[in-house]
Amino acid sequence: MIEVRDLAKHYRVHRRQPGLAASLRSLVRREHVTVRAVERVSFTISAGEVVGFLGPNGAGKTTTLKCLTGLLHPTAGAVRVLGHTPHRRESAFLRRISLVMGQRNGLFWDLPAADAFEVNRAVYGIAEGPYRAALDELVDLLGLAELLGRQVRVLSLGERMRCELAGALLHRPDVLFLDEPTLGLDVNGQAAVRAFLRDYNDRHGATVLLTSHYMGDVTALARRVLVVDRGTLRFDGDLAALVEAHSPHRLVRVTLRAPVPAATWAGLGEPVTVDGAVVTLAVPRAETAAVAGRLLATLPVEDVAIEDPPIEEIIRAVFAHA
Amino acid sequence: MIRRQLRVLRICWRAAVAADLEYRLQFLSAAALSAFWMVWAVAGASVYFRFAGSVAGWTHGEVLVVIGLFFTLNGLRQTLLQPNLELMSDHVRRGTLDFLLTKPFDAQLLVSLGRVRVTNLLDPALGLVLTTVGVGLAGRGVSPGRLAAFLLLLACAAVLLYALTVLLMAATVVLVAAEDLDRVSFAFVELSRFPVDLYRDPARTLLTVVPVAFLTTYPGAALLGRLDPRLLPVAVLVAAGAVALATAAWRRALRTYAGVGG
Repeated sequence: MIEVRDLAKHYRVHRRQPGLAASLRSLVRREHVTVRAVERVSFTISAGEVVGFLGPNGAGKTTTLKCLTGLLHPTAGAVRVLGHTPHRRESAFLRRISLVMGQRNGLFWDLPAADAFEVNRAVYGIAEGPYRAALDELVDLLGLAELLGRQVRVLSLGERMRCELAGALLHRPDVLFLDEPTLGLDVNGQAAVRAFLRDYNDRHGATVLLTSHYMGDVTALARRVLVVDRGTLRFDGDLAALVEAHSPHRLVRVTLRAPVPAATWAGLGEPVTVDGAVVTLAVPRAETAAVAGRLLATLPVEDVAIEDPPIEEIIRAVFAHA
Repeated sequence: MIRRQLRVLRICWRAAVAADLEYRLQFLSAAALSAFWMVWAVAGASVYFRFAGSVAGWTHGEVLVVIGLFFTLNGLRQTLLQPNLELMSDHVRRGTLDFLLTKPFDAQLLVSLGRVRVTNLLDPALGLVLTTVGVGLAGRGVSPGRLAAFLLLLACAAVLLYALTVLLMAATVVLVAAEDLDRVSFAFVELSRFPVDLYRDPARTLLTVVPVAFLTTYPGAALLGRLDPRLLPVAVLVAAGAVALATAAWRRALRTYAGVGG
């Protein structure tokens, strides 16, 4: 479905020192540097997979995504999506993909949402029957009935994002590229978009490649993650494997009937937070069950919960190791 | 394919017209300005003809024909091309060009003709009226042959302006910060306000090569029956060459397109 082999994308950018004198010099003589946005990245994604693309700002996520959608010509390497070379931008390829970017408008800004969808219908040449079926389904799933007659420009960010998703899916793409789809949305908006994407993937089996700074997006949608940093791929695998590989500890949260002395925790784990009678211990992964048993046997425990550290911390650990 | 393209343009234009019609005052002020500039241009040209029957071989009526064509072309530029050129810089800076390029549709067509602004439609209408008045003043009849040659040359002129717009759009993709490129397009049309024969050499030769003469001077001359017919195929070739050059520049610009970072 998606095959990427040794993908590299380099940019030649103008570099200027600060100050007026440097500005004047740059008018006459320009200094350029090569930015290696992506360097020898390889991976494959099968049909129906939902893959999260993680990395800090400038890691190369969006550049890779743009190479996959055909917006950028790779400097080196090979990219195949649905059997096509994306940068050739063949109509047969573009009809089967869709790109959604948070806080950017793919729909025509001045049109009512219904007319903006009509433009997409004409652009993709969708026949009346399939168009009606897709539109009805999307209006229902995304709760758009009230929004169809309103100009896209007057919609709130959350409403516009729901319309953007509908517009991007009217032609039922086989591959969906999502670049920060929940950027700027409030908690409810993020939850609605995640729920919709999960549901859509279940119904239609679309392949989804998702970049997001919100770990909630990734944990809610993707089982597999690709972690990139400074243009290179650092990890490719299950989210659970990532957690296991980069977090040797689990968190055991104990709620006691009454506070106990700090010395109690010696030999059990490292206290991470102590809030009266509620204590969170970092415990080596292999010893979690044994420690929980000892806690229950030796202390006045009301409740015990075992969980993995927040995914943000794990990702930070991945980048720290890199 | 063409039906699909026309359908998309029709939906986009219909929406743009509806949006323009919301602003009645803008319409009235644009109409008043159109009338003012036309009166100003006609009055300015008339000053010369108080003292001479003709200037550089062009009579008063003949010059009015060219001025009328200038208003016609400039009005079409403001209606069809200028709003798209203004929007292009936004597309590049905000990254919305990404969406247009990932659709199975001719992105060049969508960015160059997707918008229309009807507030300036009075200019082409008044321009054609002035052209007709100029033909009457010149005392020349209009034969079907002359009319056909005129329409062909006017179409070539419109194609030339379209090609220049696409060329400027390609430059916008490369330069990114290029909001003022519309002034280049305006200056190009502005040079065609009078027949190129009114300029001295080397300006006259330059305006023929650039090719400003193909915008209003040659279509006007065709309507007045004073055009060398050998220029007809030349005009078609120049227009076709300009479109080919602009399309090649657009494609090349897209190869270097880096978009907005993320």
